[in-house]
Amino acid sequence: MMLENARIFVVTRDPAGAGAFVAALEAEGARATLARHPEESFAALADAPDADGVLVVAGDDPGAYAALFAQARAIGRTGDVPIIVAVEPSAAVDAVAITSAVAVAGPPIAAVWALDAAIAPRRELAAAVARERALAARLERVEQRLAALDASAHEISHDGRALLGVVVGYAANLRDGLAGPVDERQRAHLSRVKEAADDVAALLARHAHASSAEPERQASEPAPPPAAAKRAARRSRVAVADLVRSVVGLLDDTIREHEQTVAVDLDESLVVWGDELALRQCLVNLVSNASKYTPRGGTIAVTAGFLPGEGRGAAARRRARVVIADSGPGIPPAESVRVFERGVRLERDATSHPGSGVGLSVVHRIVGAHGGRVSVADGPLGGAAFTIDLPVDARGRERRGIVLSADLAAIERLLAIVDEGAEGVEARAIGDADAVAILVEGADAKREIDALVARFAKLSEVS
Amino acid sequence: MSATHVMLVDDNPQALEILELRLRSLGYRITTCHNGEVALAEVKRDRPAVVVLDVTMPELNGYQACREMKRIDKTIGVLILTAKTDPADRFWAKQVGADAYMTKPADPAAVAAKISELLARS
Repeated sequence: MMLENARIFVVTRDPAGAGAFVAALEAEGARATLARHPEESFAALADAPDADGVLVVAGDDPGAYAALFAQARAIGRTGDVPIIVAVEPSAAVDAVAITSAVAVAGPPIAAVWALDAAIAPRRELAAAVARERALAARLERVEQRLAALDASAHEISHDGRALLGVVVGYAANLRDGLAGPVDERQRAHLSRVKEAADDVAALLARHAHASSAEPERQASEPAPPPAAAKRAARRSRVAVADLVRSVVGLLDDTIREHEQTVAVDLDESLVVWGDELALRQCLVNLVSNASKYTPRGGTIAVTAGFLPGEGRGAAARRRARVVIADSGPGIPPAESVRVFERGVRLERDATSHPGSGVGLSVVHRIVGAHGGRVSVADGPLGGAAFTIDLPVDARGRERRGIVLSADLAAIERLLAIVDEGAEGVEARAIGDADAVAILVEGADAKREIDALVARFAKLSEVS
Repeated sequence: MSATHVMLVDDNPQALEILELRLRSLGYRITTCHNGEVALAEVKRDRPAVVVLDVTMPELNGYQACREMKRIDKTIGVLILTAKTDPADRFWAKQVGADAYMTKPADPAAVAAKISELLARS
């Protein structure tokens, strides 16, 4: 069966009409959940990370599909669940409007003409679900392989260094005459044995650090965090200020040894939704790099705060920004993109600072996986400043709501009201469709929506 | 004056031999143990001034042994000598009360110098 055990949410304003779709899905083995109201279904979807797909049955109401797209986006999903919209062909449905609304909404929302209500959306959905599952399976295999490689690299490094300790030890004892007298020439040879062993140890260390996102995995008992194998990312609310402080504490000894100063300026309310251990790894890599490349007595500054986002309204969707700046030599502008590539090390640093050149590529990968961006430029302390931008925690919103209309002129006036600076309100028109989604965030979202609707209703009456 | 007692703990007998040769030549009295559990029993029986502890050992690892030794007598100087190189390991060593931390491969002369430093501190 095409949709075996797939968990599909069916969203519609016409539950009776959607019955045929639900039956078709279940005939293919899916577990279909039908919501009487779209809001219920999308709310359930937000709490069901194992949903395999969403089928939106929009009927022939031109306003309904745009509204449902807006709701799908408003939930704040990262786009990893395929959303298929089934539309009954009729004269009332504008093909151009659907196409542009889909284009604006972006993947994975795809609209289909339900030429056959029972077959077409099912086939599209099955294909989309199968694609997502295949990708997920492939990703899991890649992750497992990486984990195995990481473990192997770490083991080789550790055991290799231990054996080199034996080589160095015997050579040093011989060199120092503990096994009988040695002449100058023999002493010189033995010193070279030690130097070569040190070089091998450095090589092993570089390759060991070309590994995991979890430094804690390499630390033994007894204290937390516990050793952990590479595992699927677990997302949760992450308080950025606490994370920064914990990373600075972890690297305290290294920083003190270099007589460096760390200054922090943290917005305590900043929360992101992400994999805490992976984000910790990012910060460990960046702060330890900053310490490594900053001269003795230098300064490292870490700041974390909200960044006003793009889009309409003074308080449009916001992002979190964390900046790690140092007073080191900085990164030449020509290298500011290359430094994030795996294995890349600046020629300037290759001999003076040991390292494998993968710390920044790990940061780049993790930040990308969180929907964010990392970049480097000249910083305020005279050295480099690494900037990480991440979406703020969408799930942290207390409430969210949507206001819709089919009257473009009235919408324009409503957007002007929003632009006056209602906190936590974002307004977004959807392509050429005659609808707009207003997304209201925060604890007072319902009150905000009610107030907006009341003002909007007054505007409509006036027009 | 009796010789200062230093205990060496490592599951690699060659690593023990190398340090024992070096430290005996400097006049220390040496006890060697091949795992943390044996080391703990020895510490209770014959208190060393300094313990040089490997980390990756069977039965009881170096961090666990360090923590227990410090509970027995916090004046024992503990030098963690390990092939682990992660920055977090230095952090954990400090968490369990180690007094010094060195990574392998280490020149036995440098290890001896560190032991001398620990003894001078106490």
